[in-house]
Formats: sequence, structure tokens, C-alpha cells
Amino acid sequence: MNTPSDWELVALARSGDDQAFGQLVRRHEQGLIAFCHRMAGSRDEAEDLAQDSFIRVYRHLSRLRPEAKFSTVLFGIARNLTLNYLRDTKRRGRGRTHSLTRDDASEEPVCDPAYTPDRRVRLREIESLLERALELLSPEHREVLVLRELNGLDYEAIAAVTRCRKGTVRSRLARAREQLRIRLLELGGGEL
Amino acid sequence: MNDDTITELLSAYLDGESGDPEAVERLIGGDPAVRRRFEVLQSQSRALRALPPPEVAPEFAARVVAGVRQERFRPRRGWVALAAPWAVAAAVVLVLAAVYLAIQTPPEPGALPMAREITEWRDVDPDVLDSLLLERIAADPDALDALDNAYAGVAPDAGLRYAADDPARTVYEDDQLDALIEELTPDEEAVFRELLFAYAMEG
Repeated sequence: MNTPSDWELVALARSGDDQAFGQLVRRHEQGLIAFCHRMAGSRDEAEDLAQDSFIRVYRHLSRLRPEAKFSTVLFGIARNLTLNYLRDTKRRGRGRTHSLTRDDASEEPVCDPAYTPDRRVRLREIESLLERALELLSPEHREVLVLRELNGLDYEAIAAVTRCRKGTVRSRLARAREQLRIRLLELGGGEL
Repeated sequence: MNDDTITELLSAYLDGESGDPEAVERLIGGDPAVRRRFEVLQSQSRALRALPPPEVAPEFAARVVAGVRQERFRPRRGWVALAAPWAVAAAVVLVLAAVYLAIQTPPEPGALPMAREITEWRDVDPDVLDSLLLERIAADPDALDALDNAYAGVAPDAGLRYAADDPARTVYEDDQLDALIEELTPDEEAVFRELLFAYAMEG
């Protein structure tokens, strides 16, 4: 049996099939939470933001049209919510309540003979530096970088999610990468 | 060729989005400094992609489905709450109409001024748009959130249509409006961009 497309699942969900909507959620939860996590800087907030995004999609099922990728619609809504969250956080004057650094830093990574203790330590350092450098970027630079590198979206999809032109995505990504390089140098990470 | 241009070419090449990959390859091959810069971009990209994905709670999907069930069966809201999104949408339309009325030139006999005006972004008077925007925010401190909600409700997938839209109709790169945007606070800028976007969608 063929795997139903996103829009087929949307059609089923629209007719009241909650299982189809659940399938849609499972299909996109990882990527969406990753995006919200890197943007908001908190895993707990990321889950809440992702959940709100799915619920908003559900609320507007009848208005969605299969003219584009479902994931672009979903990420566009998550982006709005995440930027609102960042704006509210800034307005209230409170910083991030959680670090972007993994909370489970004490956990051992997957056992792989290639990962010597030294290498593991170095990898952790790089992860931590990257996460801190990402956090230091402006939201508009961070979002294009995350959508491209972590979510694997192409320029056209990023343009649709961030509501700007493809040319703007191209130049913004270049500036974001340059900013990331500078932040990494400032944090003492060298040029990877 | 300046540094920013080179970085942009290398960045697009790295993403497989270069318009002329052979030219970029020649650039990389012909200059050790450019090659080094490209290698740094590659390393950064690899490192970012290797970041561990967040763990998703096993019950996440079930929690979302429970949330949408609640959504479906929750009691109908009062007429004020029900009317609010439409009121906000109507307010947006009114602001757009006010902008239009403020900037329009006397129409030629028999012409359809609305149709002509909406496609001519560069005729928008930034001062008029600016004052309307600031008035709107001053009059309604919740305008930012309300506008976001109304926008998501009216056109959750509007961004897609925007991307497919004629770039000449958009204003994001317009120097005159960019200069205006620089004068705004981030919150004002967010509403401003939403207004411009909504305006563009009307086209």
C-alpha cells in the first residue's frame, strides 16, 4: 500500500480522521521541534511552539490548499509563533531560561570505537560552540541557517517560509554564515 | 569582486543554488584564499548538520491529537470573541484602504484607480504609511498579536503565494522603504512588514 501524501492526510483529517492528523504530526514533529528548538533556544518551549503550530494548522485545515508543500505551510506558522515568542521574551526583558546546550551533556554518546574519549570531548566542544554561536545570531540570520542546514529546505522553500525573495534568502544565508564564522572566532572556536 | 560577493557566490555554490557553478569552481581553483574560505564554509555546514536532533517525547503526537480534539469539542465562544478576528481583519482592510486613499492621485476618467494603485508600490508615500502604522500601534497595544492571529487565520499559507508573486510588486528591497523601516522599532517593523505583505496580497 502506498504511503499517503501529506495532502492526502490533510484531506482525511479534514473529514474528522484524527489518526491521519496524528500521522501527519509524527511525520513532521522531529523537523519542526528542531527548528523551534534552535530558534527559541529551549527544548521545552520548542515542544510547546511545535504543538501550537500543529493546532493552528488543524484549526485552518479547511483553508489549506495543496498548491505547495504542506511542510512549508507548517514551518511558516511555526516561524510566526517562534518570532512572537522571541519578541515577547525580549519585551518582558527576560533572557532565555534554558541554554541551547544540551541538557543531557553528561550522557554518553553512541558507543562507536571510532569515537575515542578525546574525539568525543572535541565533538562536544564543537557542538557547544556552534549552539552558542547560533544563539548569538540575529533571528533573521538564525532562521535561514537553521532552515537550510538543519531542516534541509532549499532556497525556494525558505523564501516561502520567511516570506521574502529567493535572492534575499541567498544573500541572507551568506551573511548568516559569515556571522557564524565571526561568532565562532569570538568564542575561541577557531575556524572549525 | 568584494568579500561579500565572494562569500555569497561560495555560499550559493555550497547549497547547489549557484547560477554558474563552473565559474565558482574556477574562482575556488584559482585563488588559495578563496579555496580556504570555501573550506571553512563547508566545515561549518558539516558541523551544523551533525548537531544532534532534539529528542521528541514519545507522547508528543498523542498530546497534539488530544489538543485538536479539545479544540473541536470546546464550547463555542461568545460573540465578542468570535467577532474579534473579523474585526481585526476588517481593521487591516480599513488601514489598507486609508493608505490607498491617502496616496492615490486623481484618477484618469474611466480608469480603475484601485487596480492601478495596488501594483505601483513605489508610489506609496512612506510618511503616510509610517504615520498610519504608528497610529495603529499607539491606538491598540495588542495590535501586534492580533494582527499575527488574524493574518494566520485569513491566509496561513499566504507566504507561498507571496513567493510565487511577481517580485516587482514586493517592497522588501525597495531603498526608499528600507530607509523608512530602519527608523522603526523591531515591533513596529514587524507590523509594518505584515501590512505591506497584506497589501501586496491584495494585488
